Amino acid sequence: MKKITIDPITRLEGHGKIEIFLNDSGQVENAYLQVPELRGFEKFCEGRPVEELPRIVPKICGVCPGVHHMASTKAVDAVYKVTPPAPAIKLRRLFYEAHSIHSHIAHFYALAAPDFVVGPQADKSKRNILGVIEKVGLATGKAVIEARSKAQKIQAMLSGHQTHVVMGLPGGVSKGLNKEEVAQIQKWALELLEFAKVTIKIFDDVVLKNKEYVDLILSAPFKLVTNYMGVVDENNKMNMYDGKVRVVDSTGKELYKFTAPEYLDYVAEHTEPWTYLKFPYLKKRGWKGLVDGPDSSFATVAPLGRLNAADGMATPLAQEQYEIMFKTLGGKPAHQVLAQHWARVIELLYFCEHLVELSNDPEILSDNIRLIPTATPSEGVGIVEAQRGTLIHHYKTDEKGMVQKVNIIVATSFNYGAMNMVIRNAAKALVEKAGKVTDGILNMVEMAFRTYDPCFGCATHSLPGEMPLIVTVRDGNGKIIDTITRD
Amino acid sequence: MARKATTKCHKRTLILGMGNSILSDDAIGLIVAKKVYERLGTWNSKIGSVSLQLAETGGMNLLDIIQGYDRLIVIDSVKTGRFKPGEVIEIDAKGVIGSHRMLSSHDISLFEAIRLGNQLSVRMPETVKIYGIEIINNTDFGDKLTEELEEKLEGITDRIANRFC
Repeated sequence: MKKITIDPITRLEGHGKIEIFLNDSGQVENAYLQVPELRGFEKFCEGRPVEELPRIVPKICGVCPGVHHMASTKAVDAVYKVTPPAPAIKLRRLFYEAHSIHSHIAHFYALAAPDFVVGPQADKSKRNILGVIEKVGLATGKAVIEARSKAQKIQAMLSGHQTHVVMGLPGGVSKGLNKEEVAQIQKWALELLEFAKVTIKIFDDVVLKNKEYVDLILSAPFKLVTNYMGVVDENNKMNMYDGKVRVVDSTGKELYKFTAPEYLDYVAEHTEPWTYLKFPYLKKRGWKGLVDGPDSSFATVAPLGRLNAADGMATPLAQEQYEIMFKTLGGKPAHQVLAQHWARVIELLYFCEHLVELSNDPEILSDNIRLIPTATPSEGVGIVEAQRGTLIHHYKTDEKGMVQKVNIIVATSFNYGAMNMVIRNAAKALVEKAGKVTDGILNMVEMAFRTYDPCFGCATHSLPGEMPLIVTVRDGNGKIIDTITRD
Repeated sequence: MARKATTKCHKRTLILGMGNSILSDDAIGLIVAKKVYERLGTWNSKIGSVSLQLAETGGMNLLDIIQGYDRLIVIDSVKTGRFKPGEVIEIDAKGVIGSHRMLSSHDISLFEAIRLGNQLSVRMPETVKIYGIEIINNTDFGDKLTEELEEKLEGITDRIANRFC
């Protein structure tokens, strides 16, 4: 059996490796995505005061610290049984929309656009943000950097620092805003909204008006049928910060809707011997293996999963784009994984519209930003939508608030099953069609899972070198057919 | 009276420590960068004014951090298995431009960030020195270095700082 290795997985946050296995005829037999895990985070947290966790957990990830900070802050609210006052929640959401804006800008322009603007089979040295700017022009390049910077500055204004976030406290936030800061945010929010509209237009001009790319999005290798999951508000509109978690099946029918404390009734985790990362699945469906289709026990998250799980967007321009997208894709839910990028730019528009709305809300100038907790701490769950999908933090403490147990389920784990299946499906179809494996084909296989924006312990950024991993490959009957040692 | 000509160096140097402060040896870039900065001081006759930034981040965030400086000194961990723990490796930036491995585990690499800045006419450092320190453990969370590296910290600091004193 021959082995093709894509290494490194370019533009993926953190280290990972795809292994594609060919049979003697040169056809793809199977494909796996392997993930080295960072160990001992839960243990590291044990014995510490729970209110310290919102300041520790951002260090899990140097690129998206805000999502862990927010999920942790909400979990600590729950541990202390305290509901923050309305102005504090609005400030948190303002911070969170700004965080989501710069994250989505970075993903779309630096990670996704190279495949669509430069081309999926273009020379590897050109498939990066530099190649994108060569194509779209310096003015757009500068606009991207400036927009991202404005969102970062709004975030830092509220959180004290871009990466060492110190905003969330049990029962509220550590800092409010003054009139000058609000005026600045209002100005930047409007500019960001204009930038989001430009991004929608770029996506329309570059991707949707290019038949080759539309055909690619709609093609069979990039279709994966699963269930979908995301947080929704009381009107079933997509919501990043709060609401209930909604799961729909592959036809769009609502399967479950649950609150944060109920998550263990609906979500279970499965381990496989060939990878460190666990596979969260729908508990009531039971573990069925890496199986897609109507009977799959995976619920896919991330932008497309969120939009599939929701009934719409809470802002007018984003709602308009939402309707256009699903109409073009042939209805809801959409199973075309590359449409994830489309969903992402629609979300960017929503974040900016909501940012404008929040920046004009008089309550964000209130000094009623914290309710001091008085209850004895015990246990709490915080759920938010990270930019990559649903994120769960679950803490248990003693009566003094010292951490006894931590459980964190990240979006990349929720999508781990889907990523493996889409890599397998794409590899089989693309290699078979091409008759040989080329760099362009391998990049297209990568595209299949990069669309989920996976983040494998991305706080690790040691220079070259990979963590050792032994992978055991099994056939459909569970029989070991190969053992691979990563070196 | 005309002012006396000065030989004072007006260059601005940034020492950039990279790593994760709670991921065992991955913190070494942050620790050594701080020590090198303390050794050099805020102004050094050889390299001019000196600033320190500790970056537990990567990708595009680096663009904001490094712009406006003349010289960039990056200190980070490496795990190659080819060097002894604690060994300092000087890495040639030119040799790895275009590489997807080098510091590329986040959204864009440090080198892509520099090239991006140059492309957009943002003032980027003219010279970049990168020092990698071979480590043992960057997979277990913990706020301590492995003992072997802890014992070598002063020597590692000397090897980097002495190049600029």
